[in-house]
Amino acid sequence: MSETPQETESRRRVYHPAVDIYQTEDEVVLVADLPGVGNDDISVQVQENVLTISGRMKARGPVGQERMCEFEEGDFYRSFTLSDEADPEDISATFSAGVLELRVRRRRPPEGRRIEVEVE
Amino acid sequence: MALIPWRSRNRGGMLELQDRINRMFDEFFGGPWLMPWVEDRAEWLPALDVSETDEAVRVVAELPGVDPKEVDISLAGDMLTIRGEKRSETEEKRQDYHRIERRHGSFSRAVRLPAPVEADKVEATFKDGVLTINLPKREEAQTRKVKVEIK
Repeated sequence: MSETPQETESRRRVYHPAVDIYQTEDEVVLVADLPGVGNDDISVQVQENVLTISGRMKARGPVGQERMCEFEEGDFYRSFTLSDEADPEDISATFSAGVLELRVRRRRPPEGRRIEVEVE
Repeated sequence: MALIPWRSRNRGGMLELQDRINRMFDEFFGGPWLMPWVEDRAEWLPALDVSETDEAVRVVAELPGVDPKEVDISLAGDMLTIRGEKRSETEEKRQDYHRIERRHGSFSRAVRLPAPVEADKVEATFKDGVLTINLPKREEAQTRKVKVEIK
């Protein structure tokens, strides 16, 4: 999976969530840290072989006087290009404790075929 | 050394930077010399948000993917320490990672609270990877509005 560089315009800050990508024998797995994001605030989309995760990170808003703030609020957006071996039709997504996990099945490489060469 | 994330705003970039670095040194060296950071070498530092009202101090920490049972919150005077471990889904070191950006492993962060708090009234909740700690202020620290007469 490789990252697709995108140019987007947004009035709000666009946040780049941290992502781990690894593969097992059958799957390519993408894990993203999205703390404080609710289930309804996440969108996962696949278009051809481009996988995009996006959504809103709502302001957690200080109560009273802000003493120290390190959070990023705004939208988050990241997209990835799936390699040919990843099957965009077979993706599962789970979200728990602020972590989004996407599993994309890897297609078995097609069997090579031997072609007989006819000699005239 | 892990970089402490900082938020840039248009308010005198260099001043803000200097302020943050000062604060960073205060937090590291302001405490007693037997310092937490010497004992536990944290692999990452969670982002924190500290705010206060008249009645309480609120500390919010981003801990995505952390099991609340693995979090240790302790209070020593006005120093709050949040410590714990973020366990990966797969413990063994994988050879087949394409990309690793998320922080894993042990974390520890100490912050000096802006006001003295009631240690036994502290409450903490955990939702969606965010830990919220509510620390009610001590009676004498609660700001009260006093009307000052100008004679």
